[in-house]
Amino acid sequence: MKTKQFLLFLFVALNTLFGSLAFGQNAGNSSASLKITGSVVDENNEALIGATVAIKDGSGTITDVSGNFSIACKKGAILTVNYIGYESQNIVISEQKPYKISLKTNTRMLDEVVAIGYGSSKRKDLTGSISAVNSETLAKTGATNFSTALQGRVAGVKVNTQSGEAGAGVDIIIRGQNTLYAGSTPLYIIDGMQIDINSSEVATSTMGGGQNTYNPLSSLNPSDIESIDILKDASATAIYGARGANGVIIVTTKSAKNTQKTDVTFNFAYGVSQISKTLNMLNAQDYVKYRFARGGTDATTVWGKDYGDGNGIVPIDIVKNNLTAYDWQNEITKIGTSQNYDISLNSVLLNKTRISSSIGYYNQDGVMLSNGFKRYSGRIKVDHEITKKLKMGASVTIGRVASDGAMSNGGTSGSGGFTGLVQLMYLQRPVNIFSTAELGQTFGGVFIPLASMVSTEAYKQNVSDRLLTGAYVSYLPITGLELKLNGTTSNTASKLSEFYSTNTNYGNSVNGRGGISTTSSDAFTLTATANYNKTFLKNHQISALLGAEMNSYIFESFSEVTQGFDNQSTGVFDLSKGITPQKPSTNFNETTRASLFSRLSYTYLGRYYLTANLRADASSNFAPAVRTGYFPSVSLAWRASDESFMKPLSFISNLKFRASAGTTGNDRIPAYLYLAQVSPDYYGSNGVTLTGLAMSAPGNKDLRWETTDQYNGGLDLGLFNNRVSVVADIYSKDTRNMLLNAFTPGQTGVAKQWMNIGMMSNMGIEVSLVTRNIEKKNFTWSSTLNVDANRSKVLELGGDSFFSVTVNNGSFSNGNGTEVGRVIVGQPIGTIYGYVADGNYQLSDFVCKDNTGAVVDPSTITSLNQKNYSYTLKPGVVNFGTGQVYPGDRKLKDFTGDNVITNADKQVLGNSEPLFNFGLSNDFKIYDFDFSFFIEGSYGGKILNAFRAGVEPSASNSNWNISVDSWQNRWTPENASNTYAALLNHTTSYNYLTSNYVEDGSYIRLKNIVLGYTLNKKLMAKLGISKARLYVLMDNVFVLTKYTGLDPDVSSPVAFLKGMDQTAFPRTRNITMGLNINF
Amino acid sequence: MSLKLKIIVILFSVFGLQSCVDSFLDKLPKSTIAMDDFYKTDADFKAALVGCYEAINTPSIPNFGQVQSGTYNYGLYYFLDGCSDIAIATPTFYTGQDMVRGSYLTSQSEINCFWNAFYAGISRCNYLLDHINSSTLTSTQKKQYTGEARFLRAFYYLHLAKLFGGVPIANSSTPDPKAPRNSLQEVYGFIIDDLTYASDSLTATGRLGNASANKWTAGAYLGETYNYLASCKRYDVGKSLLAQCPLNDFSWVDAPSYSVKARDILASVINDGPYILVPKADYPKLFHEMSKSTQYKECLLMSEFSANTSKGNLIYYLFSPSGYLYGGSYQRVFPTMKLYKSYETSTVSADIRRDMFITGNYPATKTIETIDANNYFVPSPSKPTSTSDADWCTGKFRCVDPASRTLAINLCTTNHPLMRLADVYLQYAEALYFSNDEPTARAQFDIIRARITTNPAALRTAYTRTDFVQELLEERARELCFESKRRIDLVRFGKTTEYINGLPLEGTKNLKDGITSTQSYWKADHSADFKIWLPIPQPQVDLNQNLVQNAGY
Repeated sequence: MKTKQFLLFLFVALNTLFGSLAFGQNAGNSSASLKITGSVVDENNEALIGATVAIKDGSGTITDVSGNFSIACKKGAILTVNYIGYESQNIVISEQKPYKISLKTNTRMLDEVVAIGYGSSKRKDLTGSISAVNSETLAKTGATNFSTALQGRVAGVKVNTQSGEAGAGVDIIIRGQNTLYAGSTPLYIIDGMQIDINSSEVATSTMGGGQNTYNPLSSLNPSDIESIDILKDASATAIYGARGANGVIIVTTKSAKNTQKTDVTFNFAYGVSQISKTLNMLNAQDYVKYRFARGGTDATTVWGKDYGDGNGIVPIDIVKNNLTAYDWQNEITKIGTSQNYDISLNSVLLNKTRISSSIGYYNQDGVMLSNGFKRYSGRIKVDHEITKKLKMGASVTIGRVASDGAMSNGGTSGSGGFTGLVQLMYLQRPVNIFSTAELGQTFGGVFIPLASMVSTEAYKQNVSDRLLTGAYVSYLPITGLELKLNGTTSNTASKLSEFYSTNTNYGNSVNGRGGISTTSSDAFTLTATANYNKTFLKNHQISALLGAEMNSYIFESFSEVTQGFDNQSTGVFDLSKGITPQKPSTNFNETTRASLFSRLSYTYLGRYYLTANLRADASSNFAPAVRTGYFPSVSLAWRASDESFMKPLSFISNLKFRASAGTTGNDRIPAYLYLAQVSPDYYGSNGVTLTGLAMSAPGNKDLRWETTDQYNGGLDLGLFNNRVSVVADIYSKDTRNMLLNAFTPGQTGVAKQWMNIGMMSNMGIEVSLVTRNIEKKNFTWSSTLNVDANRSKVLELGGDSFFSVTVNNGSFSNGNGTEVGRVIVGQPIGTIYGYVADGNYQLSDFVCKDNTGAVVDPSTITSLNQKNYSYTLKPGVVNFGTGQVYPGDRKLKDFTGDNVITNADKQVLGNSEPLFNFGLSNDFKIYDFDFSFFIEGSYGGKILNAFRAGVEPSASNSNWNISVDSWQNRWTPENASNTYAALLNHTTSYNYLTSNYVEDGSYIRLKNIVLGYTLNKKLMAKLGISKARLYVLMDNVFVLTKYTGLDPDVSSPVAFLKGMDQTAFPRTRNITMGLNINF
Repeated sequence: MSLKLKIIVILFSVFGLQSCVDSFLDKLPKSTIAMDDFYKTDADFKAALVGCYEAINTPSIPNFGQVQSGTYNYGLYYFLDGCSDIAIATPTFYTGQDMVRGSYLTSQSEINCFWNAFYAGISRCNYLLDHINSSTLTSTQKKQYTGEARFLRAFYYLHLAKLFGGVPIANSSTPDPKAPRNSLQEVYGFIIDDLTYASDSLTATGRLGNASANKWTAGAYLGETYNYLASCKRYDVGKSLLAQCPLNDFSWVDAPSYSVKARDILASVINDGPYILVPKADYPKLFHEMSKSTQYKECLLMSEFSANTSKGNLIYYLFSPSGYLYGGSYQRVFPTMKLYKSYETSTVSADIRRDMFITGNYPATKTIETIDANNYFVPSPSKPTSTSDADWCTGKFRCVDPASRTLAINLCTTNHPLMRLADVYLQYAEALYFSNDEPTARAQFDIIRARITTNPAALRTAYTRTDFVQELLEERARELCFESKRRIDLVRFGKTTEYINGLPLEGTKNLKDGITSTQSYWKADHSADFKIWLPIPQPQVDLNQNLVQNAGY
């Protein structure tokens, strides 16, 4: 059966090819005209309304409300019947009779066309590992950008969002991170344009602000996307050579398909969102109690002012003293709303010109005050057939994203401490109460009126545009040969404007602060390819590709900050009012690449496949002598199910084995690193500045691309007429000559030099299982499960055994360069490194004495008299050397045997790499209803909950609010807790990172539920509507996790410790109602 | 056209396009400067020379990052006066306190900053020297640049050698990253070569004007180096540590002849050079921010700052009265009672230096004094019996009223003297003494003291010690305190342990007993003999296993 279908397909395909080119006109002349009628139905014998019935010569029609059609054609003509969501069918007209054409639902497995580099292939002919996500799946996620839509959907593709803010950065890693310092994101190909993610394309604040980034691809409207194909193994990615090592994501936008009618689609959606989790912080009254309980001299100096009955140290009663209490989380957040409108038009003119166009508008009013996100998108794509041999096409895609917010990026985290709105809404004291020192100051450096950060006193807007254009000419000089010239450009422009008035904390110290930063990028890719397909001696099929490519990327940035605004009414819109301009900065860099590539595919009997790739890339990022690299790959596949000996096993409908090996590269480092460079320096002379120049980067003339060798073994299995299909892959990736900014001994005058040293590996398994569980007339149920597991390991770091991962500020920081993690040889990236917690110091660990020196019975010590005694650790109890320790302080484990906690006692505390990730979707169709839900999860990864340390009391945390849990369960003489330390935790005044803050990041998330209803087709057809669907979508419904932070989907800006949570814009739960109408 | 032919045509056009492709791929930076375009003109070499000087007081080095805690930006002030008998760190709030009280470990970041910054300085000198011969400069220009670059290279090596002992010698811009430490004999041979060349080839005028080292600066450092080596030999410095680290040996030094060499060259600096000891009326100006013209009369080399946000001196790290909002410091280091009491106070022969160098803070009610038409706040006098930190400051350096300055409140242009003629006189006295001319040696003290009292004769009586070296060290402390000399002075005369352990048990802050008696563990930290050398920084040992560690670490 399968073979027959295949032969039929081959026959049709070849006929189409040869017939149209060589014999088409003759055939037309020799046949008489017939009037054919017929109907088109689905597998359940239901009429399909609006299906296209076309003849090869171009004429055609569509089916009416009863699924009937009539068409005039010649005997021997081939009718092609198309309907979205169904496999197209070709019928050879042999006689005058009613044709009943039954279309099969597109199972999207074997005949699905997937994009491979510089071409496409049927899934059944693939030799490499490629996963695909189609527009329907994208729509089910309700995601506002396609990157987040991939979360959990594809085996081997790990997607983490940096925050819950619309347009926030998304980190995608395919098959594990295989580089340390070079770019680790996949290469994106959007309609032929090669795009490396450069988060700087969205201008960020130069006056402080987060390290989080925006997603530079968020200007792309996901409903413009037809399909996303993800190239994972070397066989697939080697065609992209020096840019392929991290995998490739090919995004194809929609094109007009229906040759007979103009498709107009209208989508409308309205949604509401709310914060999915809040933190339980102290209320105003408990906060006051906490501040008094800190004891010591606090009672007289912290409050500094008599709020009550005259004696200066009365406890404060919030209500009685008429103080305003704030619940900041509540006050600066709200229910968010979103609206989305897009309309698309797809049409084929005169059967020669295909036009696809759309415009879209999306507007989100964020869950935090003053935060919003708007996207305007537009697209037009025209393909024109000039002659049978010559085609041309052009496309323009334009997108603008505008985001607003005083700290729309989540504020600072990781550097500069907790100053962002998203941190302050937890940390800000819930009542306006000041210490003596603060009373005399406007904001005192510690009290920040949050209201001013979300008012007109603060202004922050980012506007980012992206323009993608493409044009191609395709020429078919002889049968089977296509010559194609394809040019694409990508331009981005982004501008961030900010202003903070004197009435904000950030603008107060400098009398108003305003600034503008802009970035822009200009890129083009020019590709010439020759593609040749031929079948020899019936059973030998070859496909050859030869291509040349040039690629250029230019990035520029500019920023200017001005302070000291005597008049602040015009804010950022007249920076000249600021009297103290700061140094502006500009930057320019450029990378170009020239490449030659080739691919040869050979298929024998449609069962045995061989594909070989070779690409040569020359990159301007490396010195001329070493800038060219060669990247080969080879892959084999065998369709065992087509062998005659498999025939008896009829339940196996498809069985294919795949194997590939190849080499890919990574040249994604900043430009010019190979060149020795000098930069300015300054020396004084009689008070005047002398400007000099000195070596700032030593360069390295031998620097070259990083190399990743990849091996993949795969299995495609279809059972019971493909009711069950499995795609399983096992892979190994070994990266060598890693691009490391390696430490060098200081005696050379250089601290770091870019070198090709170091090795790491990734190994993993991916399984996708698609089952069509029930296929009844009015009830279908299908499921998709994907599971992946990846193990990464650093194998060598150029002779070093590790390097430290540090942050400059944050919960654990005690000055600059606090170690939070390590990259260790033999371990995966993402290792959390610190001290192992061992509960708290209890009274029994001390010799307690009163002020006369007499020993005190510990059982008589209470919270009230605790401070009257002195505490000396008993011999043999672990200690901090000369550092003083008190009862209730955190105790740490000593590993060196000296009983003293030193740097050497730090241990590996966990790793953020999960043991496995999974995604499970279930799709149902019941009469006119469709229902689906999607669950995704991750098991075994650890998260460093750094922000939790920030909301717990410590000696250094004197003003911030704290969590209810840490207050109620704190150590006291009466509560010998081992979970939370005493309020003035002296050992954590050094902000030790302990295993206390390492949490299990495993989770199961009900990510999406979609319920849709398709309105009666016949009824709609009378209104001229071919399909109308109403739906309700819930996103991020709930999460099952032991993680105590806001959300276990954590992606820290700290490159080697992505699993560190310093909190970010909160995640939201969203409900969207929508309507899709196709005319 | 057959397919084969087409392919051939394509291939040929590809090769024909080769040069076109090359120019497409040859991209040079626009925002930064490639070194290949540099080191050509006189202006290039002048800029390169500025870079060589910059390492003296740079806050950061590109590629290394922040290093100010290891340069004359501020860190070196602290560790060259700390670990001595004249200064002690505050107990908290300053991560570099370990440098002042000698409790550092091999991982102390200040030590690594120092190593990195001064090797970066050496590297910059080597880059200049490596490129000078192929340039088109005149031989006079070449001589000038070579002289100054070699002086600076010696200056950086002197600091490294005095603090670490033997260190690897890098004499090219691309040295062996795994080179082991050279012996002190080799390092000082290299230093003396460079200083001799600079002293012989430089003129009285440096390329960067006042900021530059000149013939006399090189001479003074050469003399100081001979004195240093001679005293280290005479006082068996580090001899007990040689078994563990033989490369820090001084036994090769010919002490008598080095003292004679020192005497001769220092005499020439004093007699033939243009520098003078400024008169009594101008003496305070040596330490006042805006009186640079006075300072240039006496200072042969300073760590120079300027009114630029990239080159301002951070006020709050200075040895100035407490109160940075008024041009003062954070007060991280305190003078010891020993230093305070070493100044003569009898009304007939009072030494004006005590109350200039040891002060209280800037009080709430401000008094202004005007010096060279600039306003300065007047600090309150020190109160040695007070337990308040505010009454006990290292108040030597004074910055102008911040309101009168364009720089941000935390920045000033105060220069830090590195070689002052008063030091040259004291070095000369030392060389004379060890060249067996004690009367002339003692006469040099009178020259120094003439300007700091109304009655030099009485002061001489009060200050005279039968042990010349004792008097020399006392006078050096009185005159040169907080000018980054004391730690090395104690080391080279073998006095570190003796002087620190001998600190009197009085006053609120001194190095022996720290701030409170419970913190006496400091004593063990700082008085150990091996502390005369800093440890080779742990990160350097980790990166280059050929670097042997100093004894005791």
